[in-house]
Amino acid sequence: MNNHEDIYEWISRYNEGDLKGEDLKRFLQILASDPEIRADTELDRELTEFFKDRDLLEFLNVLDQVKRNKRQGFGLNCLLLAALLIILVSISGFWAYMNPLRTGHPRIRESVVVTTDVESTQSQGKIEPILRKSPGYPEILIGSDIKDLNLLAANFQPLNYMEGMVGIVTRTGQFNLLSPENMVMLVPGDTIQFHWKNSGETDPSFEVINNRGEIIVSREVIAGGSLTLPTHSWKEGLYYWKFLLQENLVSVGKITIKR
Amino acid sequence: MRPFSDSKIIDGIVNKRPEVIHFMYKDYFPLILALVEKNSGTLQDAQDIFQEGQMALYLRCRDHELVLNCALRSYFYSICRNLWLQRLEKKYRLVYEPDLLVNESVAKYITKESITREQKLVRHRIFWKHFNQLPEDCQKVFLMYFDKVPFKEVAEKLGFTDENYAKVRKYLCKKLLIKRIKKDPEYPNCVDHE
Repeated sequence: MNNHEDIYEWISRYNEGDLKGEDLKRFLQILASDPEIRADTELDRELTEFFKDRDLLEFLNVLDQVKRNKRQGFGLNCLLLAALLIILVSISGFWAYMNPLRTGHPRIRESVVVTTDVESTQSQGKIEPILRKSPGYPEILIGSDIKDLNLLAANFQPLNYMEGMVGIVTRTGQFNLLSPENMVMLVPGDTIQFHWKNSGETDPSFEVINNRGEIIVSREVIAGGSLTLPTHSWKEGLYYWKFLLQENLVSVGKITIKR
Repeated sequence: MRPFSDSKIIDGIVNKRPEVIHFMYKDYFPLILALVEKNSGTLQDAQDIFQEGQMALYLRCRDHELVLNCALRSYFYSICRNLWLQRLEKKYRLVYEPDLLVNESVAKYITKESITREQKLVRHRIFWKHFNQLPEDCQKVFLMYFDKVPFKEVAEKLGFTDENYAKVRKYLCKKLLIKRIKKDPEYPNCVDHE
């Protein structure tokens, strides 16, 4: 044995019974004195025994095959599932596109809301709906949802994103709403008066939206400190008003119109 | 999948029937996974324990050592449970060795004989894992060598230059396998140290 590399050859030959004579004698001496060589010899012996047990190897091979097939099957199942999902999404998308009136929540083909601008129409003696783009407000569907306008109860459904803001007042140093309270109850046909003090340089703008997020009144600039708003054209229901200074919200309130 | 009776499963294991092995994976593996995961183990631990359990069951069936006093499912579960407890005990012993000198070990129910037997299963699983990761020609050389195929024929079949190269190849492959096994982090835990 010339170097440590060759010890593996000796171990192998020893375990196979091929190591004889002087080589065997020398190897046994090494084995007795070196625990690492003893451990390697034991490992080699056990490996030989393991590889000779062809039944066990075949069994392990079958286990591996089943595991592999299982993984492939899982992969295939995932692919099938993904394909099925794509088909379902495509079908439902196509179906929803073709049947806009059947969707359960607002969807819109273009960003348009039905708005009744009281000011602009009142002078002409009739109220005409005006189609207006409404950026920043939830889009609503013209179609099936418009039918819901006829349901009285639907008019009192709170508008979540506005409800949380009722009563807020910001920039109190600059803008101070004197009246009304932030929650007002009216009967149809009443008028409502707003009074405020504004020490800022810019005048506030004013909006009223209904409980569907539709703007029904919009005043770009209000100078003077008061505003009288007739509500005779408003249906019974819930409305929210808001004052804005340079497009920033400064005051929000709620109007309920009910017989 | 139609369930197999216990005797059909035992017969299927002895005869290495893939459909029975597949059934075991489907039916038994969730139990073992739950056992292992409940006791701070991972999916990989569960897979290892499951494979060792199957090897143990196969060897007991093949060597006619199987004495079944309960459902096979329960029997297999107890094999895997013991394997997992031993592994936990080993882990516990490594961490809490000083405590074990004064307190009763959790291993009181595990005999030396069973430890040796289960350790052998772990070693065999490790052997098989590393054998599968050897280059293909190495695997073939091994299998042909242990089938007592003459080196000359091995060289011819595997396209080696001559039988001497086949011998060298077998030697190098075995060396590689031993090196990888010894490097396996699990290996030191499943051998008796002197």
